[in-house]
Amino acid sequence: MGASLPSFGTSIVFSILVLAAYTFSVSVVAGRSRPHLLASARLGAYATSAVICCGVLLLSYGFFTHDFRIRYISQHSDRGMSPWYLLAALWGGQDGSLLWWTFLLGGYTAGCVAWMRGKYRALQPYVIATLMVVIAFFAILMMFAANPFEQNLAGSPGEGTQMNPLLQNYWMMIHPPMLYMGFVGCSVPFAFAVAALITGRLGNEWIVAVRKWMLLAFLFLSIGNVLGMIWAYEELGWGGFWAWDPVENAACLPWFTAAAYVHSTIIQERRNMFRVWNVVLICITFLLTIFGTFLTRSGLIASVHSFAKSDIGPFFSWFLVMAAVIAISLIVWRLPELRGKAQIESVASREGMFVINNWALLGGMLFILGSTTSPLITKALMDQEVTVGPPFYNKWMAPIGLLIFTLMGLAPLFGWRKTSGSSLKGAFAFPVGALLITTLLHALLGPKWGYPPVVSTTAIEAGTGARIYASIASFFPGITVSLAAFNITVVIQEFVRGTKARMSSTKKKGDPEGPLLALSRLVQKSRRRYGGYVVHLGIVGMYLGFVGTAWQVEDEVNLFPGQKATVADYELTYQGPRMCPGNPACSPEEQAAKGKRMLFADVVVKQKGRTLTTLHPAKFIHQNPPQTTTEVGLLRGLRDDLYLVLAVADPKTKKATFTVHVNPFVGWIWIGLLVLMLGCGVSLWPEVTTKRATAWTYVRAGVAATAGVLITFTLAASLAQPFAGSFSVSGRSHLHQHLSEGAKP
Amino acid sequence: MSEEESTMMVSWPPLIALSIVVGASIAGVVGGAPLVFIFLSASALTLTIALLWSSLGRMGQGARLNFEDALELAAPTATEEQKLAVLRALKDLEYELSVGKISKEDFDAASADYRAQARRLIAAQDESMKEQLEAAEALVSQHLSDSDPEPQRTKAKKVKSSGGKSRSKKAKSSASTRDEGDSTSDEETDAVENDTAEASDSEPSSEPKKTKEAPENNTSNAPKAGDDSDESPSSEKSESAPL
Repeated sequence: MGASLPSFGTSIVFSILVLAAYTFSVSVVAGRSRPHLLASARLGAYATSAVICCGVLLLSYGFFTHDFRIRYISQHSDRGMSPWYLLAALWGGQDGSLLWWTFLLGGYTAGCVAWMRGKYRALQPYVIATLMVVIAFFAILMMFAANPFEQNLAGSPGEGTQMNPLLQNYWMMIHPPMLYMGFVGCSVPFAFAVAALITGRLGNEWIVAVRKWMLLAFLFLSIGNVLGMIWAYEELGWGGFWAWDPVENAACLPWFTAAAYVHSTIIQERRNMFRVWNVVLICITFLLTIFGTFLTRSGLIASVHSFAKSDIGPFFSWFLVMAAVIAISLIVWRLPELRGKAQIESVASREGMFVINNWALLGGMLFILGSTTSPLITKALMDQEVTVGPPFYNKWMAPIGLLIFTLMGLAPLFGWRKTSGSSLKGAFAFPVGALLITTLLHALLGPKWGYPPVVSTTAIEAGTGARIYASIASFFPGITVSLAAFNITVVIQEFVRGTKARMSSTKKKGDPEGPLLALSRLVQKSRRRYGGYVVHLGIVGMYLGFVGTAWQVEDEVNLFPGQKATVADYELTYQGPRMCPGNPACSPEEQAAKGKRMLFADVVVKQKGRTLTTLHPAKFIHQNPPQTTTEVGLLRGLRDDLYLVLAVADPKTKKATFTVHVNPFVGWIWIGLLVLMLGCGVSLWPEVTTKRATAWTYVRAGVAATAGVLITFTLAASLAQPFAGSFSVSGRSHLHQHLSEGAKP
Repeated sequence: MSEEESTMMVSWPPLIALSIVVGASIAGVVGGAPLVFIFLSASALTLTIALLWSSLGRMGQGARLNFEDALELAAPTATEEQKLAVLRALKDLEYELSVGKISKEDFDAASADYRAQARRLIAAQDESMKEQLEAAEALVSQHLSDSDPEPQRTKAKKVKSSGGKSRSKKAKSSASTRDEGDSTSDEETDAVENDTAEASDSEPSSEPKKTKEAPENNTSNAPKAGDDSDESPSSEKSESAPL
């Protein structure tokens, strides 16, 4: 095995294509004329997933045995890397990440095929066939452009090159898999849409089938994007979490359309409307995932993610064009059957609000898409590249975001078809009351606490229009906080009204329920609706985190050892620099660090005379590859984060320059994600069905429950971990050292 | 590998998974992470070969579609879809009245409108299925007159009276018919065999397990508000199977 691993791995990659092609053929035949072949197609799909799994495990084996004959392994790992980072190196580079992507797609395919057992007989062959086409594309890509098992032409080097130090971060271990899970997850709804269009079964059948898959993809996209924010916040050291980098933008594009679909599918189910729209949204979402990958890999647009740059862009562009042409052709072919007769009767209705919400989400997506690709567009049209920066995005995305935020609160207050004025008055009374009270309190107390509702902004362009807009934009922080209160009240009101209605209904039936029982049964009976409301609460948390940037405090201080500086209400005392390993003050873990020199600058943090912690912002000088990284000193809190960056430290004078950021409410973004995950979990929770239990049923249930609890705990604990206390470099060192100093997985 | 062997192998995924986990654990204790990966990789490859073998084996069998699967292949009609959407809208309307999102006047007006639509769609559906129902009734009558026993006729009439609305009832009925020694059609026999297969909790070989999976089949054919059971029309469960 050892002697032939690269060639054996390559043959496995070839096998993926062969098996995918076989399964595709059998599926198409099963769909066209021989339905009894479906069982063969299903087994073929499982076999394809299993062979992909074999490939990933082989590559992992190569990493763990340091088989540097394989080029990818020698370029992304060395013998000193910890097992966790060896595992993360699987997706840390181009070729491996494509195999990892295929692996996740194989997992989704196997899961989807297992889930379809005994259901969707007519759609199954084409769902499987579509998924096989996507798998085959990735197999072709690996075979001809990015083979992760390709051998080093110059022979095996004695030592490999470490993965990019920026990627050796705890969050980077889970951010890409989560984002890929979201991206890849969009393939399943697309496969169902294609199957529905081919078979002409365009009713609600496939919509019902798809909704949970899309919600799952939406959940993973949310997690992936937020984890990316956390990584950028901790690792890049510029004080923010979202820089509107093209690759970040590409990752969030499908999120917008997935969110739009999750809402518009309800209209099709309830009112039998928007069939064309829903198909289009699903296709766009899938195409955006491919486009995002194309943007990341092609290197067409400059990005901080340049480590992913390669020459596989043309493959993606061709696949993108092919998928778009097929999707558009199928939609045009089925257009007469897709068109519904029902129409929106009034804008003052739930469906009316959903439509506006859809347009707002789509508008946001189009704006980001247009701005991200502006260098390409302007180059093609005007022969000069025009790139827009974060101020441009912030300027225009703020009103779009606020529109979406407003609609999120408004939609639940409306009924289907049309809502009378008297009903609206009742529905709006409490939320509007909460909005007004919050606005008043914010105006009175905000300035005193350092969070004024009006924050003056400067126009980024010249002209009267820009100045007027800037003065309007200065009210955005206050508006966001008021809308947050509005949204929270709407959700609470929905829960209260639903519970009351249920209590009243059960009382009439002679089986009265208490408030808690009624609430729990209400959620149990309408998980999607109430899970959705919980997701809204999560989004509110995130908006609070975003608006906190308006009150961010940033300062640069130069200190000699023993000197103090005050930023916001934090008092910082610089103790001095130390270089590790070598300095006696370094901890044993710091002394044992290999392959890098670490320059720490210790700072004691006090607030109102009370010592909070000692932060250790640092510069790490890596040897292989030679690279310097900035390690942030972070003190997290629910009110704000103290974010300390060591800019320069003079070894002779020991003078250090720090950039200090006080970031209000950033933690609420991560809390919002946890709430969003909870809401999605409620919506996705499977329906309990009565079924005869066998011994294996219990074993499966036990294993599934244990796995579910473990995964949830791991994710929740990892996200909540920053709040466990001080999260300075020393606070993080426990985790970091655990990861980097050879802890076994 | 014989057919039974291949069926057995793919029918017991939990046992296979358990064996792999145990094997990987032993490999981990003996040789650490690399041995775990190589063991898992070998297992995945073995599984691939077995699954492919099984897939190829099934291609040549030329098995016939059973009754339930054939029914499943029929698409719900546009009328059926519209009817379900209207019934669901009615249910939503009731919920919205109960939580005060719409006034009683709006509820009465909208409810009357939806009910009229539902009546029209149900009538249209009955009309479109009239010929098939009559043909089915004639076939059942002929079948019953060929096989005489009185108790079975009673049961079969029950099936007939349901107008083909519930597949599970039909399958159960055919099962009881066979138990009583009557001759059954191939399709009915298949359904009964699949019922038996379901008990063994097998996977690919027992895809058509309609009787027990009736609620799921309803979901597949009719857009029931799956997880929003409060919001689903009560009539969906009995009206989902298209004929």
